[in-house]
Amino acid sequence: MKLLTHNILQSNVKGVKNGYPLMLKATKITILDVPVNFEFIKNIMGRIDYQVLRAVAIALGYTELPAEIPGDADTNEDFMRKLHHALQNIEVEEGELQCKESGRVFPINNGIPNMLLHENEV
Amino acid sequence: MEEVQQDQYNGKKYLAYFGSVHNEFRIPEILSIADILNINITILEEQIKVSPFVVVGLSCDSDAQRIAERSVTLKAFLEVWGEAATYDHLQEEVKSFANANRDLIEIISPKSFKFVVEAYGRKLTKAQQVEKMDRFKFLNFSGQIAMKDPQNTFWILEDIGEHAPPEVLPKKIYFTREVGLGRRDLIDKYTLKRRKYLGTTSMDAELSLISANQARVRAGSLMVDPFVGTGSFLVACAHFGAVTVGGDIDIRVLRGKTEDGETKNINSNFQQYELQPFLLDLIRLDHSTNNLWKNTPLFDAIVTDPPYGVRAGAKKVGLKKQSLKRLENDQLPEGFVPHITQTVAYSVPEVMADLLDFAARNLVVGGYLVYWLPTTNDYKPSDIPTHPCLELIANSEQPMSTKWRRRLITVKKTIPFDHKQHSKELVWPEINVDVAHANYAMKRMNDPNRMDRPLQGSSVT
Repeated sequence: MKLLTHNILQSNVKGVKNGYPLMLKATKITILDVPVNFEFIKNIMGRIDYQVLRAVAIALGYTELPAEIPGDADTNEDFMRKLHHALQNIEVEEGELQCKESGRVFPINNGIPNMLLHENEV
Repeated sequence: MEEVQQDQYNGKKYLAYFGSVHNEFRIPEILSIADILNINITILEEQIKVSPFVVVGLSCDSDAQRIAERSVTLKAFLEVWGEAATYDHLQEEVKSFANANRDLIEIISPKSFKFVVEAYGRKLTKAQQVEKMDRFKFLNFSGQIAMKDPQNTFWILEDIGEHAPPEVLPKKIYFTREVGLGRRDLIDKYTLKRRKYLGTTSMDAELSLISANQARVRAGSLMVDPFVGTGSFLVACAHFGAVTVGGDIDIRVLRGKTEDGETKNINSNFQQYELQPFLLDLIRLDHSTNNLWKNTPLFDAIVTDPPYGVRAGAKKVGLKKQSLKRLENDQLPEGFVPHITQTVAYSVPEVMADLLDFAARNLVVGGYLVYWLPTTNDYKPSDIPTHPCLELIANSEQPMSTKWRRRLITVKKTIPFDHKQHSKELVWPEINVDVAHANYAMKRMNDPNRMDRPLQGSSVT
C-alpha cells in the first residue's frame, strides 16, 4: 500500500463520525523506484491532505517534505519529486491501518489493505 | 455536438472507416477522443448503422490523425475525393476534386503511394482490385509506387452490405486518401489470448480500451475500478497513461495464483505490458459499504463491470437470515467467529445505486463513470439509474444473444456533491426495481438457452 492510498482511505465502521485519517503502523516497508510522473503529481496535488501525508511519511522515516506546500508547487520540480516519493515510492508491505475513533484495525498483508467490515459493523 | 445535415455542412469531410463490429460503440468512442483532445467534430450521418463507413466533419488532417491515434474502433480516417454509386460517376467526381484542388495534387503527385481496394460485404480478387485501381490511372501521379511505407495511401472502398448476392452492386463507392490510421493493433497487443492472469469475467481488449476512451482517461489521470477482478480496465486505462487503483471483495482474485512456480496476478499482468508504474494499489473492499474513501473528490475516472451474479457472485458483507435471527441487541451469536465475514447477495439495482453514489461523491467535477449494465431485451431507457450530480453522456448496447444484452453507460459528474441534497437516502428513498436488470442473475440462470458469450466481439476462445 502506497501513502497516496493511505491518504484517500478512511474508516467506515458503523457509527464512526470521523474515520479520517487512519493511523498507520508498518512492520515491513519497501522503497520503490517508480519513475516520477509530473502530470500525475500536478493533477492530484490539490486532492490530497498534505499534512496527513507529511506526518505519516515522517513517521516512516521520510523527512524531506517541507512543512507547507510551496507557492510554486506545480512548477517546482524538486518539490514534486519529493511529493512523488512520499506518495508512490514508500510501499507498506505489512502493517495495519487503525480507526482512531473505534479502534478497529484493518490489516495490510502483501501490500493489500483489507478494508472489509464484519457483519455487525455495517 | 451539433446536428448538421451533410449537404449543409461547409467544413471538411472525412470518411471514418471502422474496423469494429461494435456498431453502437464506434461514434461514442471517437466523440470521447475528440473531447479529450479538444477537437471539434461533426457527425454527418446516422450514428448507428451496420456499414463501417460514417462521414464526419473535421477542420483539418491533423485533427483526424490525432483522433485516429487513440481509437481502437477506427481502421482509418480518410479524406474523401469522391463518392458515387458507379465507377463512371466516381471517376468524374475525382476528376473535379483534382481540378478544384490543384495545389494539393501538386504536393501529392511526386510522393510515393499505393492503392488499397476493399469492399464491405465481399472479398475482392487481386484481379478485381487491379481493375478498379486502373480506373484512376488518369491521376497520373509522378511518384513511385511503394507497397511498404508509402507517403500516401489511397483507399477505394465499396459499400455493398453483408450477405448480398454476387450480382448486387455497391450502394456507394468512395475514393479517398488516408490521413490517419486507427489503433486496431492495440486489440492484438492486449488480447486475452496471451494475457497471463485471467478470470471468467475478464473483459476483452477492444471493449476495455473503448471503455477507457469513454472515460476520457489521459496521462496523469487517477482511475479506480471498485470491482477490479483480474484488472482488465486497469490495464486499458494504464495504457492511456492513467494511474490506477483496484478494489475487490475477493482476496483470492487480488492475490492471484501460482502456476509452475510463476505468480500470476494483476501485478504480473502490468509487468507483462511494462505498465507497472501505473498500478498504484489493490485494496480488499466491499463496495456496498461506501464512505470508504475520504469525503472529497479524488478520482478522474471510475471504469467498472459490476458483478451481477452470473459468472462472479455479487456479494456484500452482511448477515445471512439465520444469523440475523440470532443476532439480537448487537450481540455476537453463539459460536460466531468474527473474522470469517459472511456475505449476502447484492442485487443489480443496489449495486448501481451504490456505484452512482460513489461517483457523485468521489469523482472530480468533469470526471467520468463508465460502467457495464447487464440487461435483457425488456430494457427501456428509464432503466438507467440517474443522479442529480451525474449527466448521461453515452449509452451503447452490445447484444449477447437474442435475449441478453449488456450496455456500456458513460456518465459525467457535472455538479459538486452536497451532503444536504445528494445523500443516498435523499436521492433514492427507494431503489427502483422496475427495471429489466432486476433479478438479472436469476432470470439468466432460468434461461434454458442462455449463452455466456457475446455474439460479437473478440471474446476468449
